[in-house]
Amino acid sequence: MTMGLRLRGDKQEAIMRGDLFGTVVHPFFVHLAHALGMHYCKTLPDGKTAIIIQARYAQLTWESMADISKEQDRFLLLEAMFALASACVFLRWLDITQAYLLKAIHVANEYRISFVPKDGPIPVFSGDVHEHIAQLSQLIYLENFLFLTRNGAEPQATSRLEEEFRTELEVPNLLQSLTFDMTD
Amino acid sequence: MSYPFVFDICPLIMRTRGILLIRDAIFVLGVYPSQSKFRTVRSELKHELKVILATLLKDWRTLCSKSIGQLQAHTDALQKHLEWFSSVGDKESSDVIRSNCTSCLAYLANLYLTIAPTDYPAAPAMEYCCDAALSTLGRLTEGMVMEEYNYFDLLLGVSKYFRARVCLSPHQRRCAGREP
Repeated sequence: MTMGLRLRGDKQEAIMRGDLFGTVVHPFFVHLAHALGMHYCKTLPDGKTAIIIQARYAQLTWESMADISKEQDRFLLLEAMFALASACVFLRWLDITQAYLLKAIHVANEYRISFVPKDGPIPVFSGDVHEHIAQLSQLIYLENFLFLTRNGAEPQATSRLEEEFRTELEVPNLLQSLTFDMTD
Repeated sequence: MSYPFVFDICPLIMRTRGILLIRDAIFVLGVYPSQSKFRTVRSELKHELKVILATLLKDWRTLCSKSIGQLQAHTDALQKHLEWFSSVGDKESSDVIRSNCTSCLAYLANLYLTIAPTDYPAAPAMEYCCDAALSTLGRLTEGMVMEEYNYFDLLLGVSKYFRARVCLSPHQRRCAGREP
């Protein structure tokens, strides 16, 4: 949640268990969680061994990323790119953040990944749908976040997604539903 | 075509919604003049900003009203207990309850005072309730040693603390259409 990642419950559990089988969640997320976890863990000794292990996890993360790039699952690629972008925000590597974010947005735009499927009926609400929608909304969030707080570029890349977000996602806006009389 | 789901249960989506509101607000207010592309002022966003501020006000009033209701009920119950313990001559217990009741009434009076200026139609009723709370407070504290409860502790201290959290600034109130 803090990183802006929304994964299905069983995927979260698999990451916590360190499940590398890849049946529930891609190993990329497990390796990334390990690498980031070691970075933020304050109880780890600052020894050479810890650095080597963390570097190994980072290496595995990049290798898994390469595997994902070869796969057909474009949404997985988008998720992985976004996860790296989010991780880089936390590490304050803003140039790399921007690069990965743009790649993720590029994947979304190139493969026309949308909030609402263009073909077929609207899916019923499920963990997958929640993950899908949350992920796309976070692309918008992160681009705007970088723009507002990190001198990022104008949020143009996600304009298509933003339009969809505004029009097709009926987010109940409590602010608008109020019948407060503004004129008294 | 849009989803019929309730998305206010999705924090990440609401977060995106929030940052878009903030960004729009910044463009509308012209905080980022260098971003020439976004200089075009969208009137509907101006209205949205007003609604946001008005909502803050309304939320706070709702919060105050809820607190008042709970506190009033608690104070009433305390007063009943106080009467009972006084009638049976249990001075120690009645002193403890009186002390508690006094604090509640002081806080209640401050809540009334706080909410009254932000709720114009109900202001007279609020002032009446505040007076009633203060009268009860005065009656209860007649026999008490007041050194331990000075005016600042009872009223101003609570009031300042609460007002700082609750009240909008004059600029916000103007934006919200509450003041000319």
